[in-house]
Amino acid sequence: MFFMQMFDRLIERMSRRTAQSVSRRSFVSSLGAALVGATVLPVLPVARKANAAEDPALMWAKRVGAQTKDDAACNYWRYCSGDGYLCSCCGGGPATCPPGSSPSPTSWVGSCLNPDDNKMYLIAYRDCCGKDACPMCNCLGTAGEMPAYRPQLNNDIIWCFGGSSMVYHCSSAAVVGQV
Amino acid sequence: MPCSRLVASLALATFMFCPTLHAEAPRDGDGFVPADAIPDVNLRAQGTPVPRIGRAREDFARHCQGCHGHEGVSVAEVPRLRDRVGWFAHTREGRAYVVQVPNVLQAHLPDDRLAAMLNWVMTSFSAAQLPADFQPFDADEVRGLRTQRLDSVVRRRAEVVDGLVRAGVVDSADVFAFSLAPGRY
Repeated sequence: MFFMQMFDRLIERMSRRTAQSVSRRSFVSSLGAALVGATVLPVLPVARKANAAEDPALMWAKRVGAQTKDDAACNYWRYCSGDGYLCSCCGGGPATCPPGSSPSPTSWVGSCLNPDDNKMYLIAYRDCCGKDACPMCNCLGTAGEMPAYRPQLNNDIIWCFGGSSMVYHCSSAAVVGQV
Repeated sequence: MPCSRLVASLALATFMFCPTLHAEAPRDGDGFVPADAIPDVNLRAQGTPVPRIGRAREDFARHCQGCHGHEGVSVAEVPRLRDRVGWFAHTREGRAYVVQVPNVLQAHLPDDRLAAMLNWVMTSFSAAQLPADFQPFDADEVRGLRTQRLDSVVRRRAEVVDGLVRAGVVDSADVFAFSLAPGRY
């Protein structure tokens, strides 16, 4: 019982001391600042950047478990924005056309994350053309892709234009550079 | 009092996060990365070094190079940039035209990055054709020009080229040969 009284008195003394030294106005202003801060901070560019949808290339790499060793698999890191049959499965390589087809003079460029060094690279998606479609290893990556009304950022388009043939064979993915 | 405290805390918060913002600073992108420094089975086998890409060149690569080519030269259907695009900087109309060409005007790029990308294109592909007193594009100029849309791009191009010939910048419109005829677009 004695202990409880001691405790009561202690708390009472502390409250009174606080009440004497701190004005109610000061408490209200701090609370106000905290509330306003909580609403304003998320609008700052910093917070927006942090909450912005994760980079699509990073999301793709996480989702498919991107790897750097097997270019005949859809989750090979360079294929994050490619759409079509892998030239690697058709007698070519990730950046070379199979015999009998030729690289289109035009391509579209995306960026992929290399999961092993965590750096971003620009990738040119160049279709190999001039031979019937090679229906092997059909892969679809859509990282950073835009609708077809942004054709230079769209991969549904057959990127064979400008070449001698519009017949699509397969899709290659060459590393343009490190960003 | 609450106001000043709020301002102070916001300033502090911004200051604290500044390094994050500054990480977006322009990249020069000079030089090459040795192939064996990049974890990729094919690059290591080939051994070809990979270029480092700066911001302006990346913006060009992602938005233009697919058709214009990484050297600014491509197929007949796409106007060449190399050894040519700098001529446009000789007249006010020409400067406006290179910003108002639809895929530049509508590019998914803010005005400052678009200006930097245009300057990179002008100086990388066509420095010899630029006027001696070439003024780089800046965000304000680009922002203003982007508000005006061209109705007929090919017709406008022909007018601008005609202006360059009349001003004596080039001898003949053939310098700008391009396979699309006026009126088609």
